[in-house]
Amino acid sequence: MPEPLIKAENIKKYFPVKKGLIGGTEYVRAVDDVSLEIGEETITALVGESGSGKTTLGRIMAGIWMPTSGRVLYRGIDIHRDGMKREVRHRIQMIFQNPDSSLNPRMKILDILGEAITEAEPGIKKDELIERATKLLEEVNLHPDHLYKYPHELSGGEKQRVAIARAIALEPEFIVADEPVSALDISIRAQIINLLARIQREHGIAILYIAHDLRTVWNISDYVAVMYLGKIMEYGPTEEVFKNTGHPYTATLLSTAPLLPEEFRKHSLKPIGEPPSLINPPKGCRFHTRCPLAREECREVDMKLIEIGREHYTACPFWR
Amino acid sequence: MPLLEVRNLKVYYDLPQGTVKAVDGVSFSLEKGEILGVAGESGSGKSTLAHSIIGLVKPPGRVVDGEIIFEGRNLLELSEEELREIRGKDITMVFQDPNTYLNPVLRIGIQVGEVYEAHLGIEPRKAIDKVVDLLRKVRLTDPERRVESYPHELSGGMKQRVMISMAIALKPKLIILDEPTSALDVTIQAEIMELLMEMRDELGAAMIFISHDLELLGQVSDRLMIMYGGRLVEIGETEEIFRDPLHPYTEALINAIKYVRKEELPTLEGEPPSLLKPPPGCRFHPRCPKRMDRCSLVEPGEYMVGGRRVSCLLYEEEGDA
Repeated sequence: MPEPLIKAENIKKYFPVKKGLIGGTEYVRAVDDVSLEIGEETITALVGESGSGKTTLGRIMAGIWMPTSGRVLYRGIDIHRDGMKREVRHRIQMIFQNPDSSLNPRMKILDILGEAITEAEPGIKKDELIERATKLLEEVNLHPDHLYKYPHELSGGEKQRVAIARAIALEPEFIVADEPVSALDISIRAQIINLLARIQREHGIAILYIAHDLRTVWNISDYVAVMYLGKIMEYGPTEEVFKNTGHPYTATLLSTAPLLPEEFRKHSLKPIGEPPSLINPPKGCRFHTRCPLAREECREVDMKLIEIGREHYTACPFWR
Repeated sequence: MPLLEVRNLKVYYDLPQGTVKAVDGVSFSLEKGEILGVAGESGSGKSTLAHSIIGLVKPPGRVVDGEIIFEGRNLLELSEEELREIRGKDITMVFQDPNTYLNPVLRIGIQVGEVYEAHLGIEPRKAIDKVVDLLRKVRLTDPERRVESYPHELSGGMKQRVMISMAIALKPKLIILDEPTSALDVTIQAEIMELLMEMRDELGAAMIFISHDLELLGQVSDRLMIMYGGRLVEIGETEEIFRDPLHPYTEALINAIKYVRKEELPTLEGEPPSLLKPPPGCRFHPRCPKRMDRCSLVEPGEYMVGGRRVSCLLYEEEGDA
């Protein structure tokens, strides 16, 4: 891979939780020593179930949350330590699952986009601003009439288009998209995914696409990182991960997708039981308590990512 | 005689802005032990349909017209008391979010035990052995300990197992499942589905399985019904519908669940219709890639094509109304 655009190094994020009335503090280890690189103009999917830490990692890489330790470098600049300089802040944007909580309900779309436009270009004239906002709406296939509407007058898909328009207003190089289509109806999802793919191509943006839906991951991502209980289990080029799956957990995820093309359905693995707690995650491999192929060693050995192919890594030394 | 027959059901909601025709003239039947998948997007009327079968439509909603015949009796003509007798015993329901239905301050054992009290008159405390057996049956780990737990001590998947235990406790003839796994993670979802199918085989209960997830319905349902804007658009054998969808909307849904690599995904332009002011003619016509001039003028009837019933003017000639 060429020099990455964004580099997350040994990220840990621990959230304190009080232990009863007198007992001290315990920590939820949402992200536990994760490194991830994202190249320019590539789409990396971050896949995992709830509690995997994917949203936490995404927010840290977007500069919204501070990591407990570790750092995120954007073109060599530590985005958290250097106080998120303006030019860095503009280059990194985020799109959320629920546009209702990210779009101010009391602002018209023009003002929502206007905020971002003036942020990029303070002192811009009103008519120029309207022109820019209109262009942004065109880019996301929305009629200019929408400029004078409030978010509640828009459908879920339209609101997500506005969120995308706002994100690209600042001409970012990197967008974290956290489950941007999960809340939408099936017939609307494809529209938004196609839009994201087009915006990515036309603007040369790198995207961290956080999702649990393998269908959209297969469609738009170049790379996939699979997370489980705060750790990355597998990482690699999307086709590699689907075709030459390197981790039993990835295989269990693929096993839940019956319509996946035949060539990727080589495995039929089912995980055992319920995911364990993040407060006291299992020792050894995090997945061993649910892994149908777990061996004795898996309870003890702390798994490191090992290379099993070109740019393809797994945290399971025993699989395959 | 089918187990359940729904005829021309209409359920409307009276809102200040007008009348929402959530279910607008839907008919179908269900055989004993059969699984009918009901697919549709939000606002298609699929959940309202489910609620109306067990008499859970609350004002401002009301059943305007139609019949719901269960084992020969029209449920819409029964008293609340007679209905309560059937609901929870012969017809049960599993909802998407167990949190809405589990009482947070009651221990699991008591809540599940209440099912026996309500229908068999057994005091919950005396039913505890039965409850433990039942929880074991839905493979809740450590059932002896779990009867003492409160709902918040259980994960989402475990709570859904508890809901399922209540739904199967009295060996129902019909279980209505409203997005039972949509709030769960995919691996847990797969386990719950496996459990449901096992329970079906054991009880021989019929199921109405409501979901927006066509891929899931494709795996489990014998027949499939697709709804759009409060209307039935197509109903038939699941396999046949997947192989050769007749209605353009069904076709779009089937296309939407295919895996496509690095190409534009097939899309359906536009948004689902407003049920306050549904489009004239066919409700799908503004989004339909195959629309004809007449589609905005004429409401399509329902036509039989092979073993399938489809509501689209394309089949007006071919099918028998």
